[in-house]
This record gives sequence, C-alpha cells and structure tokens, in this order.
Amino acid sequence: MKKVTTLAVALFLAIGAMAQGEVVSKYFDRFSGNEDYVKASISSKMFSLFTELEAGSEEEQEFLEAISKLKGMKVLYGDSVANSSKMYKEGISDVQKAGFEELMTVLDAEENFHFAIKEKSGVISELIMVSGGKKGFGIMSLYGEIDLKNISRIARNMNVQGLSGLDKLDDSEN
Amino acid sequence: MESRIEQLLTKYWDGETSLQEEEELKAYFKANPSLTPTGMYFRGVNKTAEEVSARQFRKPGDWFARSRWTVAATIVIGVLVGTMILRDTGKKNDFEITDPEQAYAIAQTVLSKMSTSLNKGQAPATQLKKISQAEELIKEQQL
Repeated sequence: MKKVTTLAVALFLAIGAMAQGEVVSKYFDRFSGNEDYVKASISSKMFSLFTELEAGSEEEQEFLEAISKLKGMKVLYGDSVANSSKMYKEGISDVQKAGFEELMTVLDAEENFHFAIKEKSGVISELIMVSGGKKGFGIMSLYGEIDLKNISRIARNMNVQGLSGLDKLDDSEN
Repeated sequence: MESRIEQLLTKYWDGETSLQEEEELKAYFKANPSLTPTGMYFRGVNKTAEEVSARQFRKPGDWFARSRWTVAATIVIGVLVGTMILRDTGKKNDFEITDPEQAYAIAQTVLSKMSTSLNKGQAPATQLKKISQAEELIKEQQL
C-alpha cells in the first residue's frame, strides 16, 4: 500500500511539473500551423546554460541574476491578429480556468496586459502575461522560481523595445 | 495426580505423548512451578510457547492479492507518466529554441516586455504610496 501511495505522490508531482507552461502549450497546439503567430519555447537546459555565461556589463549581470532561477519560458505572439480583443479575453479566461490567480491588469491606450501567477507557500512558480492590443495578441509564461522584483528591474536596465525582436525569429525560422 | 504426571513425564521423555498430554504437562508445571530440572525445563517450554504465540501469520492469499493490486497500480501509473512525458517532449520539440544565442535574445526581449508592462501596472501604486507618505508627513508637521 505504501508503494501505491508513493507512486501516486510521484505521479502528482510529475503532473505538476509538466503542467508548467501548459496554458501556452495549448495555444501552441491551436496555432501550430498559423504563421501569424511566432512561437518559442526555451527549456530549463537552455536557462541553465545562460547561468554559465559571463556578464559583459552590470546590466547584463543583473539580467542573468534575474533569470538564474527560471526553469523555462513559452511565448506565443502575433502582431497582426484579426480578432485580437476577443483573443485577449479568451486568453484571460483560459488562464483563470487553469487555476491562476490574477496579479494585475494594466489598461493602456495601445495595449492591455493581464498578469496572473501560480503561487505556493509564498513562492511564485509561474507568471503568465496575456497581452492584447488593436491588432496584437500574446500569451507568455515564465516558470521556475520567480522574483517579481527582479523581473521588474530588468526593464530599467535594458533598452529593448516591445516584442519586435521576435520578428527576427520568425524570419530565421522560415 | 503425582503418579499421572510421572507417567506422562516417562511417556514425554520417550517421545510418546500426544499433543493433549503435552498440554497437560505444560499446564501442570505452569500451575505448580518447581525448581527441579524438570520444572525448569517446562518453565522454559512455557516461556518459549508464549513468545511464539505473539507472532502473527498472514494468509499467503491476502499478500498475493495485495501484491497483484500494487503491480496493477504501478503499471497504470507508469503508463500514465510515460504517456505524459512523451506527449510533453513532443510539444517541446515543436517550438523549442535550440540555438543558445537566439534563445538568449528571445529571453531578453520577452522578459523586457514583461518587465516594462509590470512596471506600468506598478507605477500608479507607487504614486499612491508617495501621496500617502506625503500626507502622513504633512499631518506630522501639523501636529
């Protein structure tokens, strides 16, 4: 009986670990053949490689520290989506259904953002951002051990505007 | 009674007593403890019998049935975990970035975007905090 209990616990832990990034994965499946969306997944192995990099500047050092405890990232983004506001609402609903807790919603003239987290014992294990503008829609997930202060600090140090960098990925993939 | 016990003892040492007669002998020496070698012998026998009786035996059938369920549960759990791992691995491979430089650039871009958006949301809260601090300061000065 003990064995069964142990195995059941192991199964639930495995499911829990694999469930990370699951919301975005569903969007990957849904839009797998749709070229309007850029999709990217960065594994925990890749994040562990980043931690071995030597920082060239103080800003880079802070960035590497901020991502040191991350285990993965999944992104789906499209900048010319026909029904972006519907997608945005749908995205928020999917995130809520997946058991995420709302962190904040930012209503901006150009783009709205919805942040939600999964938290256990004071540790944030996943952060999801759903974005929706006039034409754009995006859903991105960070998982691992997330420190919001560190994430918040990144923008102050780095000069990367918007998600235009992802367009390059689209070109290189095609 | 004494002669009956003596007879039983003679049979016992010859190895001819029945189980019932042996029980009779044990019961007699339990009720009449003696320091004679025979008395000490039966004291040992009774003590050992008490220790042995404390042991519990399980029916082999129960163990086998339980074992069968354990094996079945293990197989089911194994298949479930295996399926989920394979399914997850398949998904990862579809859009996984394998070039470290590209992955680093994407991580930077996405995190910057998330960070900027988070700060946008935090800005009004920070301003409210500053206003509240200023109000407290004014109140303190008025007092």
